[in-house]
Amino acid sequence: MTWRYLRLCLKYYILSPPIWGWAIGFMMFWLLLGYIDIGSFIKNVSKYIPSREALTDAALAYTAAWFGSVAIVALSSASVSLCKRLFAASMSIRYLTKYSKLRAHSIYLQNVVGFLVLCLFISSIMLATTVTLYSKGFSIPMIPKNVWGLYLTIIATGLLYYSFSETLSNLVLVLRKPKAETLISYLPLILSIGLIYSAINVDLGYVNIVSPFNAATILMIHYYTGKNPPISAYASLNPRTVSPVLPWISLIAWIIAFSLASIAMIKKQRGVSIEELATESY
Amino acid sequence: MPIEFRDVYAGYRRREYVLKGVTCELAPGTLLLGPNGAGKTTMFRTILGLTPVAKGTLLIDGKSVDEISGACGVASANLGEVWRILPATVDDLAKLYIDAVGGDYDLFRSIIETFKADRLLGKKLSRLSAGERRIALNALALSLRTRYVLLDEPFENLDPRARAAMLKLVLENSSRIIMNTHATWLLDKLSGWRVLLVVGGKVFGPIEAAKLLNLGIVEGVAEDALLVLNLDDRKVSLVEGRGTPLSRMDSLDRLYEVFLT
Repeated sequence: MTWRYLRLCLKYYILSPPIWGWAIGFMMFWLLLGYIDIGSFIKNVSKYIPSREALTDAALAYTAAWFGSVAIVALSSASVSLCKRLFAASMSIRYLTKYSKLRAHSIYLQNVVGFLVLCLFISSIMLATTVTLYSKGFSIPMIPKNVWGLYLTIIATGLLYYSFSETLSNLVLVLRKPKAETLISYLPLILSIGLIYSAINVDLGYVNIVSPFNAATILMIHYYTGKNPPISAYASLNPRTVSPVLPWISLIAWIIAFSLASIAMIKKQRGVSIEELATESY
Repeated sequence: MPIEFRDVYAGYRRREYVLKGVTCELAPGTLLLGPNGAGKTTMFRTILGLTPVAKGTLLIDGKSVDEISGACGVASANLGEVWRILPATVDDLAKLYIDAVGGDYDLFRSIIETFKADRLLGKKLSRLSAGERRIALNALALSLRTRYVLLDEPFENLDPRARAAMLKLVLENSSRIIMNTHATWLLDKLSGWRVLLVVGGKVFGPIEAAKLLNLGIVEGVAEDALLVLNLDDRKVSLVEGRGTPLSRMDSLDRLYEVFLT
């Protein structure tokens, strides 16, 4: 198996302007907004939380909520690029699996690994930015309580977005609706923003577990704070919590469901003509 | 064993076939000649597995195209969709595909140098002019050194100097190339090639390239017709010694002008 394809995938991601612009630059801007808001957060909560220890917990929860939501939206931005790329490459993959030593599973594996590396790269930048800014803002170190758990969640979230993107790009081919490609590619981002930003201030209850994007977010908050995942508004002072097992089950179930759907659609899709494939950036 | 189409119907939409019962054999040194939209490129796409065969059988070296997998060194093409795995530079694509399919990177570089086109190596295909893109795609396809190199309109958008250099390259590699075009200006350069005429999703022929030059086109079904072509709902005949000489047409798209004269 040749790994040159993986190296090229990584090179493409690292040099991709949409990744740097939207998934990294724009999301760092959102983290900056959270940092700017720290002053008013301290002013509001200090009225209700007199002890310094409780205030530290609240600060960590605030930081974790910002990191969790921004990291997930950043990964969903990356998945928009992935979705477009998988759609545009659909014909080449058909050729290569027939007439080269690259097998379908090898291309699939290298695509997954490449995207996971990208997710870890983006999340690490978000984490470093969060720790630096929010530690300065609260004047206490805002280090995640369980970094390994956090990275495990990031890897699972990467798998979720990969399988979702693969499903969506193949859905365009199966439905033979190439003109809907742009709208469908943005679904991961639209759903993530809608569901996660709603959950910050609104009590979505068990939607936080059923929705894979929210399940991933509350797991990140869980590993960042060391407390059970919140299922009411993330930004509230005493959110209702659940066991981390439930969001894990949800996340894994969605990954399996999207993976099976994408494999079924890969087998079913019969391609579209080159005239119908998007050509931008190729 | 060549590439064999047996009553092949192919297309992207149900019951809207581009190829409508194609039966023919393609071997290196074959030229598919036909007007735009006739189905020439779709024949190539079908061979490459990009367009599904809806009905009939397509055999590549005796094996059904649907069953082919991991067949390195069998087929390559200068079709853009083959090279869209990533929006990478031309040089990166060459290295990736030569690594995966097999081929010769030195040959790729020497073809690029023939056209004095080193500048395009560091660019993405989308950033190239139409002529540069054609040179890059032809070089990529030829450098894979496959048994069948499918060249789709390899002279399109090339300036006269590049066109001459490309023709030389095609002739040097004619034992591997199956080519399609709607241009007829090159017929006299391809003596020894066999020509299949592709019109309206059907294939007619074969006929020798040298012989084709002496033929004329007349409307209707002529008694002495060597070949009768269906153009939409009308017919034209290829005949010897009369009619509009095929050699005078720069492009087979002008076939339809027969009805205007």
